Amino acid sequence: MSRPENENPRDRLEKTARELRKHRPRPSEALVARIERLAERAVARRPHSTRVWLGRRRLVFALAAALAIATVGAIVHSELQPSSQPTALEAAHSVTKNSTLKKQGFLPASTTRAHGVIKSSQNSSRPPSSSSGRPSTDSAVSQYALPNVRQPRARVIHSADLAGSTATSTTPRAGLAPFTTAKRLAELRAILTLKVEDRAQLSSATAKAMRIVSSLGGYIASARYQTPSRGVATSTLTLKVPATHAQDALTRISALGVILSQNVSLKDLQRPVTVEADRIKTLQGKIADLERSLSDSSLTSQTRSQLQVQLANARVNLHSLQAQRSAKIRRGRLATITLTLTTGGVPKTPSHPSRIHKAIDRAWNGLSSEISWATMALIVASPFLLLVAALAVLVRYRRRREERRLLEQ
Amino acid sequence: MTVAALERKPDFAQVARDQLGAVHAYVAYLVGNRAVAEDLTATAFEKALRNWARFDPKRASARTWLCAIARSVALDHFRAEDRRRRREDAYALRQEFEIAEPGFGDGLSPELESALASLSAGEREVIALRVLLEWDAETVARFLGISRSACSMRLSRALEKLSERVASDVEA
Repeated sequence: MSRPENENPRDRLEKTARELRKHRPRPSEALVARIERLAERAVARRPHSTRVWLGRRRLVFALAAALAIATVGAIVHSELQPSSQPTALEAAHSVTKNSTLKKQGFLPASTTRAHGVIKSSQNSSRPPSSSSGRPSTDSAVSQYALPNVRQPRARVIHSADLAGSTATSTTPRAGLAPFTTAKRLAELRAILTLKVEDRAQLSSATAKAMRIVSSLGGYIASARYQTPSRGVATSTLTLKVPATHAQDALTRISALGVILSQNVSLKDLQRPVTVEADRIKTLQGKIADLERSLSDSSLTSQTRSQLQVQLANARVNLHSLQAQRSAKIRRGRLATITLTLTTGGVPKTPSHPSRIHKAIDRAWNGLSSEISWATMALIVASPFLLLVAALAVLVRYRRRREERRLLEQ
Repeated sequence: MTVAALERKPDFAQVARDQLGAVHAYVAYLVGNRAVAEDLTATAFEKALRNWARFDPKRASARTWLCAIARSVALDHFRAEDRRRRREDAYALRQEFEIAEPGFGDGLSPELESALASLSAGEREVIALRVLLEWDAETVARFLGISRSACSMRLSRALEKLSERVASDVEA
């Protein structure tokens, strides 16, 4: 191949390229025959649909499937969940189990209705009839409704959740919930929010509330009075009232304004106090026995010291139990009322959640917990994943370097 | 992959017949030995048949996919050769198995043949892809996993080197 001296380098490259293309390597007949045989095999063996490679789409499908499974799992889990575990919505709209209240002696028989929904004050004017012939909760509310409390527009009210021996009632913008502690020792906590017309009324209502509590033999545990230059003025009082006068105090205090919300909880103390009394009696008997045994002069020093240790332990336990019981009795004697007087508007109460809403809420809770578990698992696995990723990068880098070296030979 | 996509997917037998020349030319330039190139090409097509279900025409053309398999097979061959050379070096038994028959194509001038043989596999590879298979710079850069400018520079240097060596051989 001869090349003229004055040939342009670009032309020379073009010429070389043309020559390379012209004399491109051709496969031998043997290779062509080999590939033909391969092609025949390929025709005979059609790819199965199960061998279809989805590539990157597979990851997307897998993620979508995982999400769907997680959602279905959450829904199924929420449906299988016992109803005693309230969701966020249910907590906001907890349901009264008045029958339990009645059993514990907190409610009069007329208020009994399983899963009763206490209707609002306007509904309370309806005749107290029901298809079952039993007195409805509406009538129960009207029975205890405060005559001088201005009742706001109709609204469905959901009462409280009841867990164990604790009863709570949340009845926003309704008459005062009927609770009595006359029969049993119970810890009563009430949270009342009342609306007053203006700042002047706020001041007078606060003073009246203090006077009511003092007149009933109670005292003010804390007071907070806020009247900013603009906006809503509030007064928050924590009142301690003798349990025997709690109902009276609540009735009179509720009359100081329009009830925006009330939350009354009763925790039964009768049973634990009785149990503790029995234990105290048993311990006292044990102590008496031990003291009698120790008065015996024929005891060996080892036995005596063992009995002394037992006596000391029993005395410590007795003192502890007595202190606990006294504290419970003290808590039962005084009811705590947290009163908030405000000039602000009526807070919005969410409507009663439907079955679908509840199901969605429960499913969302389930999904949230699944996500939190997945996140936790990811956090735990992340160091290992990082290590694997670093190793993969290192292997890839080494492979590429090796390839470069091989191709440079 | 949808049924429609499956229907669009070409037949392996047809693809093998159509792409044999291109893949063989690429492998021949990469390894610089015709006999070895034939073996490796056949191996690459066998491997391609085994993995044909994985081929997605949307992601790459059949030629690119086959060349990628051929490259992987050729690199495996280089690795094996490298190991063999090291073993033989260790025992001082190294022999040159360079084949005298033309490695790059019938009818090439001896100067060009010799100049091509003196290039590195990487340089020959980029010439094969850009000149013989006439791929555009973008595709070659993506195929080799390098930038477009690096690809152009590699080609330009390889052709320069090739040209210089041909010229020096002619002068000699």
